[in-house]
Amino acid sequence: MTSQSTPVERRVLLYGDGNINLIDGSTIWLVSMAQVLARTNSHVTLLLKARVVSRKMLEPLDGLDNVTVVDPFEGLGDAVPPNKLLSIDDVAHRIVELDRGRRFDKIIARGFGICNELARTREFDGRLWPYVIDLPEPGAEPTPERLRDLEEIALSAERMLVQTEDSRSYMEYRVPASAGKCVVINPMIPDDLGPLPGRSAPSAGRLQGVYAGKFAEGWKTLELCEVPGRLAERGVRLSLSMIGDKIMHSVRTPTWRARMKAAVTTSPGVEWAGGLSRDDAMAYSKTADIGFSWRAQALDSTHELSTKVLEYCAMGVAPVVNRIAAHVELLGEDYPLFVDSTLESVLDAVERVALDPDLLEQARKKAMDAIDHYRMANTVERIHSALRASEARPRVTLEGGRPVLLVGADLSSSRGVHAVLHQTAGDVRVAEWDPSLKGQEQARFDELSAAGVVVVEDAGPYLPWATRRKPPGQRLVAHVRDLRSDEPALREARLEEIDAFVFQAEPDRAAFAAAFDVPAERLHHAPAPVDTAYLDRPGLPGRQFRVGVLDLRPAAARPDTAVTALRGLLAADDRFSLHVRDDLPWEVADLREDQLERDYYQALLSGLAAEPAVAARIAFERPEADLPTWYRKIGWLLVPRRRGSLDPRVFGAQACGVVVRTPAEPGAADLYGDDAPYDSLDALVHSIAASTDPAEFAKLSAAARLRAGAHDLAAGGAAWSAALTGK
Amino acid sequence: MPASLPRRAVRKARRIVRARRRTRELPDSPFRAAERILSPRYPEHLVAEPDDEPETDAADDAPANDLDAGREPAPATRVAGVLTPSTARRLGDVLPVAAVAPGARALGLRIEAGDVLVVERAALQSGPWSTAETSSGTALLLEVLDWCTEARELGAPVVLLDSGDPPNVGTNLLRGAADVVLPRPQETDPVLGPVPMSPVVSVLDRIARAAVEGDR
Repeated sequence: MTSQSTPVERRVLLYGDGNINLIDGSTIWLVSMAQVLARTNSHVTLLLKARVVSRKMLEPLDGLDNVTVVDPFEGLGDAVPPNKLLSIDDVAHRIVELDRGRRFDKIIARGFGICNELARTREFDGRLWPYVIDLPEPGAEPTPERLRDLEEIALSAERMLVQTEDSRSYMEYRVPASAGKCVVINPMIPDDLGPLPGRSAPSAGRLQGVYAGKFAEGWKTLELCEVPGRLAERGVRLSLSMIGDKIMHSVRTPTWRARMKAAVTTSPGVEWAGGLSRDDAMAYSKTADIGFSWRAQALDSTHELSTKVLEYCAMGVAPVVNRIAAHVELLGEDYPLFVDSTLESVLDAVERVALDPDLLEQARKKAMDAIDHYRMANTVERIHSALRASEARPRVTLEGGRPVLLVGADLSSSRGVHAVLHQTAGDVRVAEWDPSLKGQEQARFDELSAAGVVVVEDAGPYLPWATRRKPPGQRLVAHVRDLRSDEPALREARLEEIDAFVFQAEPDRAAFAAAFDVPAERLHHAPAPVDTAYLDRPGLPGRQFRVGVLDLRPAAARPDTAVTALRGLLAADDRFSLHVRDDLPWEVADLREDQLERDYYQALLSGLAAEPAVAARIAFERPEADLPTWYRKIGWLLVPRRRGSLDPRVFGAQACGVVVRTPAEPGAADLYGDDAPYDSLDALVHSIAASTDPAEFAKLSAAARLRAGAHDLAAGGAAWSAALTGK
Repeated sequence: MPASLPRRAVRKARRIVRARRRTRELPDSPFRAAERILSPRYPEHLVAEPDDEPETDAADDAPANDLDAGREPAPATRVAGVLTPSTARRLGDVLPVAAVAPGARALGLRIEAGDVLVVERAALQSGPWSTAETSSGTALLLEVLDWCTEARELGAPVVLLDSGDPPNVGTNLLRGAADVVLPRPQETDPVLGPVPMSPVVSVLDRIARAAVEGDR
């Protein structure tokens, strides 16, 4: 609850596409999210999809004076039947209406349909925080329309909510525009949810079990009703309480619903408690020893964790769950209540813990130890931090209030620069111009003139042109990412018209200062900016055996040396593999007609064909938008000698804990760290092969993350502030 | 082929069937593919048929045994697959093996009729295919599924070797894409006793069994 002295930081509209009168995952999420947002000093307007018939689910919100629940059919009296639900169109319309009166700072909505509708209105661009959980599964190729809709949602979104790190990975792969926007919120459980005080251990052979949630075919609730009876045949007495009143239809088995109803009311050992408020359901569940979340095999393919499982864990009720990767990660390999989709596996697991109270106690302890990360307080912290990061005020105010214009011929690698300019000055426009200005000069000049500050990304080809057309009162900033390639254009430009130079590499700044007669106060150094907070993700097991390469072009990198290194690594340990993440040059339509280059690739391929055992350890992977996810599995990144502007991807990889190795040359250690340069391929192989011990590699990985901090968006803030304002 | 059947008609029928397969690219049904690979005679029953059968009348006059000489047992079945190094070595002792790495299609590797495509779940947990079963490796998963589709279209069976690793996001899709998931329970004829597996499937079954039981 927000006390009266705490100012409201923002106004949030919250909507979830679920019926508040039913207990299920979507309504539990909705109410939990309202509680979380209330604790971030937000005023929450919670729009419901259905008229409130039962207040059970809303009880946790009672007394929160910064949460307003909006009945969707308010004022319509009995004209609206109690079971009527708002359609997607209606919801979007209501949100637009509410926004007119209250002007929300953030719109948080759950469900593809409503997010798509809200994105289409264009009313909420830059304020929308969609939570799209119903992405097409990997095996179902989404239609182009669906992809376009998802892309539209991502483009409209300021941030996108995802449930887990896995969900973020999948979202970034499916919806490239979501990369850089996804906020992992995790399923959440109340902070005070714990075991029943003073509970005693059950006697051997007797157990109290609970199931809470919807009754559905894939949730195996019908088969679950058989479990007490079948266990009784084995001498185990299981009393099973079933909580919930939402009995789903089965499209596949029309008789399922009727059979479910009969089973839950007549099965021996089963007690049906009906629908309860969440608090009552929890109080009821706490008395149990084990909680069931048994699913059909078809539901094993999930990116997400069940909130119900986490609640069981928090209450010290050992969950009976399918042995899937997500549950193994949560509860550990040796958790005793893992089952598969068969009834036999459930009977065996329950019988085991029923006959061995110590084993049951171990299971309960493992469960309780697993859930701290999912406590609501942690979610509050994550969301509050994400909200505040999106609300950071610009560091400087530009004279005249005119925007910053970022100009370049290719801004594909300038995302970080755009982000740091946005953080510094707020309003930043982007102009990616054709390198040839013929016939476009007037239009470009108009664009240029409207800006208060023009930042030219790379000197060629626009800087000389811009220095000759600089309007009075405008500041012109040259961002020099590579002095060697920019030098000719800098010599051509009127340097006295350039108010500030921002160099990405300190040696470039020093070299420029020595060669050109420009006042030192106009020269700045700002490291290549990287959103390190977004890229800092947990590494995947075994990454110390995976070596990455980001570039296949021989002019930029030397993939043949990576293959040579792999040969040496495989001789040391056959678990090593090489991962090349680039378009295959021979598949690229505009591959230069360069005979040398073609010969190079031919030799590379012939070499691989002659060594199938080595070739089988090389992955050629496409450069998709989910690069941050790729970093998680990569331990080492082989970076070529510097031949031009710095590649921000390398610093991004370091932010994710990837350890960089590069040929020794002056400045290499300054760029990537003291351990990064190697003097020979033998030394490279040795340094990698000698660091496969997980603890040893973890130290190197932590050092890489630390080093990436020098490239954080905030690191160059002061230099950019000075460059943009001259102060 | 029985001598009473007109050879020209038989050849024409074969051409029609092959043309239909090429143009309509009908994948073999999972049931039929499974039947084939689980036959104890697999791969001996596969026959290599020359692509360019002579169509001259002279060929019609050739003796029947000459025609049958054109249908010789395939010299060997190749395993193309997503394999761990140890499995590739083990299989390599008994038959040709082409280990498939991500991007191998772009390097020219293709499934051929007569191959068996083996996808080993253990090979997806580390090495070049690592993360392919997880949310972090969707592109790799789709690439494995593409290999399975290509194999199906060519009539090459797809075998999934299970492992003890917990199912992940892509596991069900891989199971669904396979004609056969190994290990399988030993089939037993009520009268004749255990039904033998072919040598190839038997080796694959042993590898999968060891992986599932964690005895690698």
